[in-house]
Amino acid sequence: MGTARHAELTCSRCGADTVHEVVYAGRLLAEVTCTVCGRTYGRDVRADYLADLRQRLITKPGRMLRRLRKDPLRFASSLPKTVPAKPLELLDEIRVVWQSGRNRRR
Amino acid sequence: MIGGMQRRAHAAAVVLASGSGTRVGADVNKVYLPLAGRRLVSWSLAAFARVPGIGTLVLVTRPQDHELVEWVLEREVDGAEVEVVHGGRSRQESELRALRHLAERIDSGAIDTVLLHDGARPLASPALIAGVLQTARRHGGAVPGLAADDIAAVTGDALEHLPRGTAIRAQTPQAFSARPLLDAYEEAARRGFDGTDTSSVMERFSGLPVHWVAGEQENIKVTYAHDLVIAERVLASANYRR
Repeated sequence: MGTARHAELTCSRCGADTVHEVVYAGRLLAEVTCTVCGRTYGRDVRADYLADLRQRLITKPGRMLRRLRKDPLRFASSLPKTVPAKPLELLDEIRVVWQSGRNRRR
Repeated sequence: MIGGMQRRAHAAAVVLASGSGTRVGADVNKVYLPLAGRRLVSWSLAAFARVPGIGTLVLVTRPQDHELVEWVLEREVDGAEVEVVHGGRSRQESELRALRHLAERIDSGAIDTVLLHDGARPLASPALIAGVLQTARRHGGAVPGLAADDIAAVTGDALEHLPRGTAIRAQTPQAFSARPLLDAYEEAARRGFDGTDTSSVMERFSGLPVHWVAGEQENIKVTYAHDLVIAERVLASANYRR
């Protein structure tokens, strides 16, 4: 599901530090959920996602070039792992974006 | 290195990212959570790198975050050289380790001021950082904060409202003259004193005057889940620039 991270944040409902699932659609924060009580903060990212994706695509060659110049060996060795994963990552992002529509009512 | 800045610079910025956050199920320390395309901690490092007069950037991390830190510094803090120091068991011990890392340069006079910043505050602006640095250089110490006129003191069961203008909510970065800061932390370590923040250690072990600088409403500490949402909105409204 998009990119999900799990980090310790304070839950205002539990009143304690708990593990939260933080879900991203690309660079956009889509949802933060307390894994103990289920309290969720989310937003509808559908409108922002396309603009953000466009920006990422435009800046990608520059970012790749910068990394290539900085450390060519490390950059080249990372490609076999990162390139094949991109289409799946994109599909996951689109799924998160689609699902974020339910946050519209919140 | 940023355009020969190292030669002229006399201030060091220390960003603390060695907090625990290791509850079972958490795969990342919150300071490494992405926020608008960069980790929380990267926003802070980038802001410090843009302030003239800051020549050394130190990131205090946990040893187990080594690979992630390398990844973040390679991709997100382009153009600035960041020195990585492993933190201790407490915030104060982490600060002491960072200061000991800088000790030689403090002793030689190459670093005259140190700014200490919480990595969970990604939105401190270069203007705020510059203001704190300037005030610390003028007076010895500087702490940013917001007027907290809604704070009440509790005595037993009774509430006592503090007079207006007598309380602030302290923020970071907090900046101090480097030599007295290092001395105060060494003395605190010798005596086993554990302060609440940098200024509390300075208050106890240094006679350095510490001045208050107006903080920024946006300079929030990401603590609650909704703080992440707010921080992203603040960045979006500023076109993802600080």
